[in-house]
Amino acid sequence: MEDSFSNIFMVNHPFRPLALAGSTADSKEMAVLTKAYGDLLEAAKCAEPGQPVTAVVNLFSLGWMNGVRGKMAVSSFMALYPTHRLSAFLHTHNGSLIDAFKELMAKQKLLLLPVSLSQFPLTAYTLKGAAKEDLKRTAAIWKELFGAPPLSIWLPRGAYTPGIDELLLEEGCQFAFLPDDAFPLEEQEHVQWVSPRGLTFIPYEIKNEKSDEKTVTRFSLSGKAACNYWRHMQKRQAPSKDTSFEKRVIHFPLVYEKMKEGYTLTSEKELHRCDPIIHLKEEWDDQCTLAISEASGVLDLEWAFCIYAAVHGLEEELKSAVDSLRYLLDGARKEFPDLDYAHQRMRLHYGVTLQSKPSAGNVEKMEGAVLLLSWEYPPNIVGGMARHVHGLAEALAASGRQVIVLTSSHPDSPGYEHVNGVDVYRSGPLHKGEQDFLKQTSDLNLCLFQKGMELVHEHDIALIHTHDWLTGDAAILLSEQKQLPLISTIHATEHGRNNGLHNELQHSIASKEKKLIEASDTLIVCSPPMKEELRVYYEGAGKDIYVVPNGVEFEENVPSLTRFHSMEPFIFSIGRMVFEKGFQTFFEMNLKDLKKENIQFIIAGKGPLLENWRQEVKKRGLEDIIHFVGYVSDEERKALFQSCKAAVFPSLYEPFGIVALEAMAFRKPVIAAATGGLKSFVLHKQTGLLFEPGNAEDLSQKITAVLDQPGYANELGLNGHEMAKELYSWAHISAQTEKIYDQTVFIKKMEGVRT
Amino acid sequence: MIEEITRLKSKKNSWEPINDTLSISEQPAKQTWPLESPGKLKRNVQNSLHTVLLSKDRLYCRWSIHPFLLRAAFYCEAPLNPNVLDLRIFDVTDIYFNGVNAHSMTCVKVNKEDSFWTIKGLKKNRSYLCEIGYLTKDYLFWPILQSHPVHTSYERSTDYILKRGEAEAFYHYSFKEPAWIEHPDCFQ
Repeated sequence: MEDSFSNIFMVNHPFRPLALAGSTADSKEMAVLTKAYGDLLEAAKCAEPGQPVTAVVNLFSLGWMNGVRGKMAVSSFMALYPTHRLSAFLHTHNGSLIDAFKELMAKQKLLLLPVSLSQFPLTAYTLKGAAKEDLKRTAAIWKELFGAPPLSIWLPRGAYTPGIDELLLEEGCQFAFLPDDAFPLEEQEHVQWVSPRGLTFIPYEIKNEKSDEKTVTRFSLSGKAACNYWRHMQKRQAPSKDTSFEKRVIHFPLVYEKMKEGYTLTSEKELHRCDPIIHLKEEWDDQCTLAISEASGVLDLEWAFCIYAAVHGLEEELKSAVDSLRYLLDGARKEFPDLDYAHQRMRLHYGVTLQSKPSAGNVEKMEGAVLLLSWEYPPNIVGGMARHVHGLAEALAASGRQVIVLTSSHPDSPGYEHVNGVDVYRSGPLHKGEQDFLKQTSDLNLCLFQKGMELVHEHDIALIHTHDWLTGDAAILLSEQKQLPLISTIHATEHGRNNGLHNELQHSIASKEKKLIEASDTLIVCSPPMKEELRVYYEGAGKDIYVVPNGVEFEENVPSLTRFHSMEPFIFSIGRMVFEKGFQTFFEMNLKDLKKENIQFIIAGKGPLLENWRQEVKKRGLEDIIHFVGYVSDEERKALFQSCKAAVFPSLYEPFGIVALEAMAFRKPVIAAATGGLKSFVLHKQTGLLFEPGNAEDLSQKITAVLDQPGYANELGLNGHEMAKELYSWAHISAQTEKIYDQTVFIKKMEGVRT
Repeated sequence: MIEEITRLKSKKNSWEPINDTLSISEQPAKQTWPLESPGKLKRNVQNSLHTVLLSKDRLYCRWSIHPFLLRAAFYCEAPLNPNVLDLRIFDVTDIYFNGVNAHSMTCVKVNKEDSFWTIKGLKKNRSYLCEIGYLTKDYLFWPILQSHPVHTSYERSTDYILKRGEAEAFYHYSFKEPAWIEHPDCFQ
């Protein structure tokens, strides 16, 4: 073995534990192994301190040499060949190859690195998380053997894609070797290539020198810059901050050995060989790992070896390892694992334990969790549903319930987060640009269903609670698939929104609403008129329908200075810019009297009619009075409620009208159209004023009454606030909802005992 | 009776006293309380569509769609032909793909029983992702699964310069999202 500072020797004889198990000290299998490691030790012994021999080793072989069988084999070898150079050196280390390596590494005569355990190209796994786990296992075994993380992990076939740098850094690595043809020709001698995450890249070339029956492959550093950097590295064994190397950040989309020459990284055939092993991963989970307790690392070791054997075409070894893994898994699943066998495999076969501890997050039990489905959830706020589900979820969590929210993805939000006791998962739709609303909704539902299936598998979910038809399909499918009780809150209906069904889209939506109502075990609505609507138009008469009003948050210390500050005094209104919200009523008001008060109207919200109404304002010359301001942020909305003289809600159809309740929470007089849910809490002349829906003159009179009598307005505001606090706090609402949950779960479970 | 049982259960009573109190002598509620799904699914059933670059110009797609997912998909959108699936490969270079904005798309008809396909002739330095789905009765493609995107290699080793600005910005301000496609393991 030639030693030169720029050479890297890969000692990688295929590890065949079955062949080794039956081999004697003078067998061919042992001879190849002992020669390879003997040569490496010899070369390292002869190296100058500070100019170490660099070698990459197969961790399965090294582990085996460290195990009971390996140590026995080494002892027999030393007894048989006492004068062999390896025997002599190992004698001083009680026959331990690892101890011998450790000594040479401490003397800076040897720089030893592992190749990733399974030796499968990390960019080619068809299983999410497999590359990360492979590197994690490699680093864990290295630490078990040498007590410290590896400086680098050799990437099989030089396969690299962005993100692998992050995975290597997570395992404590400082640099990675990559094939040189990916690097630009660099004439400068003091360049240090680094990944965007700060991992140093060192280019190498294959010397194609395969000797000793393919046991050792030689690579060489490529280019002056790499050699200079490596020389420096070897002296320090770690990069130094005071180097004069110029750091050059480089991004590679994909790299592997001989890519430029047109070679392939892997083949369909190889991937298919690994397929059955990939599928084996589906057969165990954290419960299995827990069941096999102190020997849990054996499952990972067996699986990694299966991949290794498939990569190297070791058919007999693969079959044996798969059988072994299946046997262990079978025992673990039945919570009666064969621990003796597991220990035997680890000690005799692999020589390491790879003790893995499942993360606390994975083993967390969520007894009786509620799965809340909603198409919108903060910060994705389209209408009132997001705030409703948000308020309910956090109040339920605060009361001790375990709550999981499943909602659509949002560009500024992560796929998972834990906020105020609530687990929020986001998924889909795949095609956000789809113009067909129904199609996009179906797309979203299939994504939510898939994610929901994962969640049901991972958590102990007691029931599903969906909000409106928008997530209805996913809820129905999940409920049917897992036989979970389904509760649906119907916030509004298509029939109500449009005062009937007038086109194909409305009929399609109504049909989805009916399906959801039919499939639900229990229905929740937010007002008595909604309950009536479901009974009359949606054949909900045979269902348990509960009325639970929306809740509202009570906030203190809301800042009042916003971009609207200069428009005071003003009347405030908010809602989606759709016909049924009735904002067109403002245009017909008698504004002459109100002009005396210099009162302005601020109407916030977005929707399909926003531009039409803005045009209408212009057409009527009301730009100085009525302002359709579009979307306002949460902070602005609160400040507008805080600063307004009164809040007006002119809806023609309103199942509940949570925004009116919100105005009450801010102690503001509420003037609302006498429709739907608004009537249930805006009690005329007590907690607010009601006017005839669509009647602009009536609305003008009510606004005048409030503006002309500040004392009266104040009294209405205070009364509204008291009522809202008493009846519509989220704590109160969530307690009512929980009772419905319990009742529904119980009835569902009792179905089985009814005769 | 149901209300009474619910009331007792909500007080964290165990089943025995509930059965005694309410004289449920046969088939106590406890036995049926924990719901068990009949025909429970295999553990960790993965519905997945993976893409692997076999070489600089070949993409291997492998998918696994459990029958329950296919049934769910058909429930949401009826298929034109339930036995034929569409594998679509989208060029999504430098865009946030939203289903309708790909630079180009290639469609392959595959059998419902198939589980992989290899596409040749990828261009250099482009991003691709795949979707598997089917045509609905109105002849519109409807996706079931989407793969992680992949990015093909540079044409020349000097092309690193194209991303150098973003790479250096990330090196100095790594709290930002990287402006390139990463290994799937780096994502949630």
